[in-house]
Amino acid sequence: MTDILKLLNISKSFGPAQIIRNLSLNIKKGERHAIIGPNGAGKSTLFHLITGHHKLTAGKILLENEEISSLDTHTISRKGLARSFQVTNIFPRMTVAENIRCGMLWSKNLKYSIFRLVDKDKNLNDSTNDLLNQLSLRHCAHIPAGLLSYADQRSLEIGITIASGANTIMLDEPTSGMSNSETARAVTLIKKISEKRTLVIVEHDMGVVFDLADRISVLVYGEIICTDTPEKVRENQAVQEAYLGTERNR
Amino acid sequence: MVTFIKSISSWIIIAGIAALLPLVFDSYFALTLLSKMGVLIMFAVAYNMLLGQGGMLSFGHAIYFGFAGYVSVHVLNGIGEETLPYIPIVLLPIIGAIIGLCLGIIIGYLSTRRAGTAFAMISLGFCEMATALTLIFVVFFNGEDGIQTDRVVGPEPFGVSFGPQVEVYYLILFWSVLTVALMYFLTKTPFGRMSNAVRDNPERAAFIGYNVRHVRWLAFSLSAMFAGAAGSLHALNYEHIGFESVSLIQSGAVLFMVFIGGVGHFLGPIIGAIGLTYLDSTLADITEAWLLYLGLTFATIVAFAPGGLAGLIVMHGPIVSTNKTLLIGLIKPYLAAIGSTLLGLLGTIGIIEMLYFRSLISKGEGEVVIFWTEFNANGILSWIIFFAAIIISIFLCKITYPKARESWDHAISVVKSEISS
Repeated sequence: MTDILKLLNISKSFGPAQIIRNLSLNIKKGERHAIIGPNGAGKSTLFHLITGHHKLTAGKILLENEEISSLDTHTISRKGLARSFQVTNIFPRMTVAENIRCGMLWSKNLKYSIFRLVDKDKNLNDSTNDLLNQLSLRHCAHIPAGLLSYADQRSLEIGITIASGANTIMLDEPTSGMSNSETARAVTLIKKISEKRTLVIVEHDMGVVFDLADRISVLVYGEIICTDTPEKVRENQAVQEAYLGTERNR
Repeated sequence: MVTFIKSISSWIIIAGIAALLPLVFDSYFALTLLSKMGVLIMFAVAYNMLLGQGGMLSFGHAIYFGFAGYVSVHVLNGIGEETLPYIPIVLLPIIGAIIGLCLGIIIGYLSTRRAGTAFAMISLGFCEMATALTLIFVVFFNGEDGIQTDRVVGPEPFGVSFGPQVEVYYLILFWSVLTVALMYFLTKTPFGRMSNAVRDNPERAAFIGYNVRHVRWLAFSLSAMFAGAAGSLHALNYEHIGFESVSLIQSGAVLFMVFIGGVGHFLGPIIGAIGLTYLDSTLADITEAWLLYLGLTFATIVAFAPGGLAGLIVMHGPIVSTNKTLLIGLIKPYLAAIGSTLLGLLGTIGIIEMLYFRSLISKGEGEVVIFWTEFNANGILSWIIFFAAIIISIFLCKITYPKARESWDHAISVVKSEISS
């Protein structure tokens, strides 16, 4: 399998604090890759670096062998890399359907058009409805997104992320704050949407991680101490000490 | 084709009613007032494209309105002196629109790098600069006097000279219906939707592939373009343009209209422009304190009804669309609330007028006419009456407002249960 995303010796410092230390990681095309690690390990910073939200201090990031580390967020997004947020980040005053539809506009080549009406675009609205069905949000398509329940807002968050048809999806703690049944539903959804895509996921719920991931990377204090299959990661001595061990002792 | 006609039918009806207005209100005063309303509706809707749709608070939107006005006046004068080739007067707003667009592109490029407070401050800076320019470059702007013009120039196609006010009214009507309709349809385009998205959550908008700055810049430029078209008609209507039309006064006026009307709804600025223009023309003759009342209204709306008048109307949309009979239950508490507000208003107006009267006129005469009634501004009784009105009103409002709110909450909860069942 080819690597779709390559992080080459990247570092990130905020002032004197080095958050990511000389980190290298390859994500294979089509795999489901989980990044785990204790709080403050730099998982969210890593996401911000890959998506261009923060700029690197050193190193390089390649998406399909093209350097993206100096590009703006929107340019990276247009290259087919989309992300969700740990804290729900939707358009609260717009309806649920409009949230999804906005996520699709650029990839449907509508861009900044001032000469076309979005309501008249059959292709766009059909795709929106399809995705709403997939997310089980069709019944509340026309209410403002800010009024949705928390779990539904998390689903919408994922929906906006995949709406562009991006082939690399990065989800930042998609099940945080959910009940067990809501988590199960979210995992089913994530499995479904990541079928023909590459998935990078940050997650605290180990059940979700071992259920979903093809490979797992363990991030501790800005460094990846291990990248392997779930079974191997579970057996790894260093990981047990640094992370899983502490979980088990609790 | 049928759906197309259906979708523009409400526009045709409104335009039709507006076209019939001069038959009813045919005085010169009414016609100038209606013409002014048309121009300011255009300007206010254009401004709301920036503020309401795009989330950019500008204190300098009169720049595009006023500069387009200056250029239009020069074009009219040029045609009159035959130094410029003739163009039909009907097309003058297109020149204004081009001026507005060009300025919007340049100033927008410089100011949309930032949003929020920084954007507002930059717009204020540009506004002050534009006002200074009009006073410094006397050759083009003619200083504080401004420039006169004569709109009756060149040939008169179909016998229309645009001399009579009613002809100008129909010209303004044509352009305002056309531009307002265009701006309405703009809200339905990919650009219009993303403009809202950037307003609500610029961070996420960038993550779905949009250059946030480009969206803002486009909104800014288009808004300036429509403001320019309105400025052209403003100059044509008055046959004069002065420095105040590019200044903070004009920028503030449009902000007031849009905010009082309501930023959140497309109809808001239209309501605001009609209402304030009417009050401006009528109240200004009745009371000297008109600007004080305007300020009080603005402050009250910002504090208690941030959605503006349109927001108050839109609140009842779900009730009207599901169960109109629920509205009947609202009438009584609403009338009680309105009544107690009016009493307070009465008292406030009385006090303000008497204060104003005493500060202007020598203390010897004390008779002041308020609400067609004579009051003695020197007598203690008048003051007691008005203060009592205010105090009673405050007590009444404390009772009636929660009741009105309660009945609305009740109606909405009924609507919600009807929708979900």
